[in-house]
Amino acid sequence: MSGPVEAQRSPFLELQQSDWDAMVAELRSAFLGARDYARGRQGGRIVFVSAAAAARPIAGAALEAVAGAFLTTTAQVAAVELAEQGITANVVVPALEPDAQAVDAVVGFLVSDDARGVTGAVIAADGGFSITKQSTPSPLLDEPA
Amino acid sequence: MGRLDGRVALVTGAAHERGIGRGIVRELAAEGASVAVVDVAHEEMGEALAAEVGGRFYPADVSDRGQVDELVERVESDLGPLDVVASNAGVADWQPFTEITDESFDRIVAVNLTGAFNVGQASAKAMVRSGRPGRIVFTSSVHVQMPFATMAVYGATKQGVRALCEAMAVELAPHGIRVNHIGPGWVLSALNDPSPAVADPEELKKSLATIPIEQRPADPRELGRAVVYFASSDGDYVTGEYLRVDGGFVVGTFS
Repeated sequence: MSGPVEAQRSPFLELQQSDWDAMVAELRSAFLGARDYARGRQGGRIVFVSAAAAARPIAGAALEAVAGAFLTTTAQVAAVELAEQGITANVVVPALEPDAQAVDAVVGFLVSDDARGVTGAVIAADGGFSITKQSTPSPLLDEPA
Repeated sequence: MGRLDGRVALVTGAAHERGIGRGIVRELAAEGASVAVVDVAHEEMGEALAAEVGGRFYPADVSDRGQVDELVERVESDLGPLDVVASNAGVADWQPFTEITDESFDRIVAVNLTGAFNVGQASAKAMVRSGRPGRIVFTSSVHVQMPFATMAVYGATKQGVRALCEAMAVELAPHGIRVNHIGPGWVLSALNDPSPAVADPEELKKSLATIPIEQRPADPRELGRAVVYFASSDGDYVTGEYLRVDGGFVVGTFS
C-alpha cells in the first residue's frame, strides 16, 4: 500500500528540477517497495493511491498526474505478472483534495477477501470528481499559466 | 512547398538507423523543416542523417537538464527559434516484476520520463520566450493502453509521459503551444533488440501475426508522418491527443 501521491503543485513552466526529482523519488520508493513486497511471496495485496489529475489533466497538478499515471500502469503490469503468486494490484483515485476516509474505505475493500477477484482495477473514491469537467479553469491556479 | 517550410525542429533519440527518431527526422525534413538531430550516442549515424536531410547533429543526454538547456540554446542560435520538438528518446529492459533491478529502474525513468520533462519544459520555455505557437510531440507507446508483462518500468514511464503531455496541453494552450503524443506498436528499432520476441524469430512471427494491418512492424517513417500531422497546420485544433500508429496492434487479437 502506498500513497496518496504528494507532489509540489505549481504552474508547469515554474516547476523546479528539485520538484521533479522529489516526485521521482516518491514513485521510485512506491515502485521498488511493491517489487520487494512481492518477491517470493504467495498471496498478497498491492494498492497504490494515485491522484485525481492522473487520468485527466488539472492545471497546476502536473507532477502528481505523472506520478499517479506511473503507478497506475505499474499496478496493472504487476497485476498481470503477480496473478500466479496470488497477489492482486489495484489503484484508488482520490479527489483533488483527498478524502482520507473515502480512500481508506476502498483500500479496505481491496485488501479484504471479498476483493480476491479484483486486480488491475482503477477505482475512484473521489465523490465523482473524475466524471466532472473541472480541468479548466483549474481550481489550483488563479489564472492561466 | 512543404507543410513545414521555414520551421525549426528538434528530434531526440534521432540518430540510430533503425529508430523511430530517424523516421521523424526524415518526414519533418521532407516537409521543409530544418531539423536538429539529437542523440546521446550513434554520432556517426547522426551526422550522416543530418547531412542527408540538411540538418545538424547535436550530441546530448536528455536525462541531464543542464545538457538539455544548453542544447535548446545552441539549436536556437544555429537554426532559429524552435517550432517543433519531438521528444522521442527512450530505453527499455525486459525483466520479471520481482527481478527488476534498481539500476534498470533508474535508467529507464531517467531517459523516458525525466528526459521527457527536461525536453518538454525546456522547449516550452523557449517557445514562450520567442512567442511562437510551437508544437511538442512525445513518443509514448501502446503501453499507455495496455499492460505488458516484464516491462513494468517502461510502461509506467510511458503512462507518465501521457499524463505529462496532457498536463502540458492544458497549461500551454494559452501560449498557443500544442502538445500531443504518438503511440508506436511494433517497430524493429534498436530499443527492441533485447526483447525476447526479437531474439526468437518464432516468437516475433507470432507477435507480428496479431497485427491486423499486413502483419508487419511499422516503418519509422509512418510514425514520422503522425508527427508531421501534429506539427503542421492540420493539427491546429488538436492538443492533449494521442495518435496510435500500430497497424491495429492494440485492437488486434492477442494469442
